[in-house]
Amino acid sequence: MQNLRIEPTSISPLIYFNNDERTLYIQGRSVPENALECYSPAINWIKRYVNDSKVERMFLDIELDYFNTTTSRCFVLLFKVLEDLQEHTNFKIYWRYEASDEDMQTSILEYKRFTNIPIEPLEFEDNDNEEDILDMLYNS
Amino acid sequence: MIREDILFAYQGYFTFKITEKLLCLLEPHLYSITSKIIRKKLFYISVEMIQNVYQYNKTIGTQEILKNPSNFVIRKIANSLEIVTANYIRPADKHRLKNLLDKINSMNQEALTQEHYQRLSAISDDTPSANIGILSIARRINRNLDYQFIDVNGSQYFVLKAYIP
Repeated sequence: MQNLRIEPTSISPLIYFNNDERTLYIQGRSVPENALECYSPAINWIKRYVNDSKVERMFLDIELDYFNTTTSRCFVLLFKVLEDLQEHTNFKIYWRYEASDEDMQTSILEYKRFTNIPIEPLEFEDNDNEEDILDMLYNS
Repeated sequence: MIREDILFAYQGYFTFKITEKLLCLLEPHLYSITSKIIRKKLFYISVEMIQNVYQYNKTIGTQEILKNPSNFVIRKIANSLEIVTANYIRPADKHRLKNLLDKINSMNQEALTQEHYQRLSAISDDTPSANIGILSIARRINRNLDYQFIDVNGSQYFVLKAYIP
């Protein structure tokens, strides 16, 4: 089965599957108006992969700096698909967010409430250098 | 005296390609805001408001849209950031929009969260995406959304304002 890789754009994320880790990565930014068109290939690929490979465990690793409402709808759809596939495969989601990003943390915790797919939020430290550079450029 | 500094302004048509380009152009203009938290929240709300206008424009015929361009503005007012959109709507949509905004403004944070997820889960092409976007904005800013309906040369416009302190 062909591996999955969807290249990022300025408004949509990189989506790729690492076969050795059995992990689907979603990285970057997700603010497309047509999010369903962006995510449908990945959702359909997951269904085929689970049915063809009969894999026991599979992971999702998400790290996004922004995602819009249409992306939220796709995530709800994606998690429902994973719930349906749980009969054959156990899923776990790792969702990474910057320590200062309270909105992202809130969104992740809300998804934890509404899906029975285990989601583990993983906090990472902010890139403080960016703040210093912008402060120097605009306030000196 | 109140200072008004415009960070970004666009007046025109909100097509699929234009909304994409607007989002690409917008972000560099926000770098003067050095707080990353504020900048991210501002970008998120701007995305939702721009795409909200696009969703309404999609339902209206080309000729009507060409006669009635929409607006998007971000500006600093006193100690807040104001994000404003103004877009043409059909008179028939006014009542429904008013009811929606009044309902959203009456909800507490938990009710907004529940309503938001229920609407996200009702996935179909008939579910108006614009309404969910407005809900998303209300959840992010933790205060009421300001709105009004104004008449511009005989056309009905819906003006939506969000504030970030």
